[in-house]
Amino acid sequence: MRAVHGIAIVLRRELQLIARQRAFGVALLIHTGVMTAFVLAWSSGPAPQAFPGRGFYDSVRLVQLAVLGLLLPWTVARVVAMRPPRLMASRAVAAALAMALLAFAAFPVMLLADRMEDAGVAHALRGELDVQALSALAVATVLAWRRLCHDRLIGWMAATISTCGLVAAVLYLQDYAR
Amino acid sequence: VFVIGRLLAIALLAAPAADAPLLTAEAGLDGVGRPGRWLPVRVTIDARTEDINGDLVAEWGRARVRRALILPAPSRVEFDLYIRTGDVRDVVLVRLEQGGRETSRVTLPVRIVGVEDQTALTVPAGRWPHSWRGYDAADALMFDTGDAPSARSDRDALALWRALRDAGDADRALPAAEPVPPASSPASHAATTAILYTIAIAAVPLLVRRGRSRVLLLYPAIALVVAGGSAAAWATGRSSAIVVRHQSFAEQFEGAATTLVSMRATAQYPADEDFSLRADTMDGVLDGVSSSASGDETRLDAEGRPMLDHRAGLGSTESFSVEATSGFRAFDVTHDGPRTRIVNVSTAALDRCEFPPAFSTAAADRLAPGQSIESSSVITGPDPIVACRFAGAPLAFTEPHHAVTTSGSTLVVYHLAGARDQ
Repeated sequence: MRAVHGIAIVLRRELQLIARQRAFGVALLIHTGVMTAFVLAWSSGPAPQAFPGRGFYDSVRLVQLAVLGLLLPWTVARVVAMRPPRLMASRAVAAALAMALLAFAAFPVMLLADRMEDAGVAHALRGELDVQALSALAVATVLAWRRLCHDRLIGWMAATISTCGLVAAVLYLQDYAR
Repeated sequence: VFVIGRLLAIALLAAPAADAPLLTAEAGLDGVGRPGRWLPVRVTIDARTEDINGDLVAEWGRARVRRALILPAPSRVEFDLYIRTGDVRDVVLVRLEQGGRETSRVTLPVRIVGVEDQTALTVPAGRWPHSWRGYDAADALMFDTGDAPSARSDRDALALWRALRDAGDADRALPAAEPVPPASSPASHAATTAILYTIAIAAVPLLVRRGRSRVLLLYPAIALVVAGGSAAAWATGRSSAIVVRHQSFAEQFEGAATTLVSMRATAQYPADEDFSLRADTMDGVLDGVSSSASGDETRLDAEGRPMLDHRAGLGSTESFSVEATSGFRAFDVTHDGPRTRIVNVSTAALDRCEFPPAFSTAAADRLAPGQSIESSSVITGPDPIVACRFAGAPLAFTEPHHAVTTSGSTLVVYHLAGARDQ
């Protein structure tokens, strides 16, 4: 019981640290703003535009995965401190929670895109699972690369490339399976 | 009375059950159908012991008309369906569907007549078509009895068909149509919600205090704004109106009480829902241009109003056309010797009017409601017309769950009795 209480205290402190970082607010604005701009721009013609072979919502979701693939590793690298190493587990959980919220922030805009295509709310919720999986992946890759590579810049770049590479591979396999 | 022949086909399902609804029908005026012309199908349904809640479907070639049917037992109903195709067959199939299952069917023979053949058809006594379309296959009519139709709507239908035939139908000279006003983009339906939400989510980190004790409020505040934004995104457009943009022709004919309306239009839907757009007329057809799922099917509701069922996305647009008759009238025309007086009897100001040469060259190109104009001499010419434009629609639309607003203009044309008639 005391251990759980201790973890809660550390988690609370880590969440406070992340919330104080300006990078978190900037990432929140960039993610939501870029997705709003894409959804409105791509639906500003007579009918919504889409990538070949995909619906409007799925096309916008691909853009969202690309945006988050670039944005989340940067945000994690900026907001999570690496020392002392003994608190890494709590930091990872706090970062995962914060990034999940950041990734979820564009859901209303994605829901509008989903409704333009008439794909159904369930379709939008399933798409959100992919986004949440990406946020967890981004936290894991950044923290893993930071342990392997002590240079912050190189660690961030490696984490970004890894995250985007994994997302691209998963999307390719999903398309191949279809 | 010359009765050349009458092919009246009445068929029943083979050995129908005692409680099955009795479906009888007859196809074609005098049993005749022509490619590209309307074919009347008069249907009688007798719900003897069980209520009927289903669809009545008539098929001729690739064309199909489907009318919703709600009939409590015991009762009997008779109505006309009109079907048109270039791909004609010598039979029309009429069937009753309930719960997605066919419960009755009749097959009706049709005598096909070529487009170029001159056809005089006989109207059976008491079997007057209720629409001008019922006479469309005929070039000339003969009557079993000398009586005129007793119902006013039947008399109007016959008068409109005669006026159409006299005006030359396809040869009628009409001013050029304007394009349908462009629809707004789907983005315009979502922009307010999306932009307000983005501003709200951007403001959260700025508004939450960076103090030591309250900084954790950032997370529930973001969650709250996302929840509110999601609710707003879900609700966007759900109570908004469908917007119908149209370009319409309304043709009045001297001697006919009803107006022939043709309309090209788009409907823009405010939400991702099922919509059932209905034209406010009992005599017409509403064809979706972009909906391919239903093929050549046209639909009517249980009252006989043409309707367009569509599963829409937020801000999506569908093109459609309407052919109908309407009680709308823009002009009232009276003759006093050689003079002809035209009055604007509508509630709209009529603009950019064009008059035959018999009217003064200084004639106003605008007629306010109630305003009239008079010719100075006898009107001549093969098909003299008066044409004006107004901002509005000659036909209203309804939808069971949403308001419908219309925007666009109508070219209203009055075909005057010309030299040929005089």
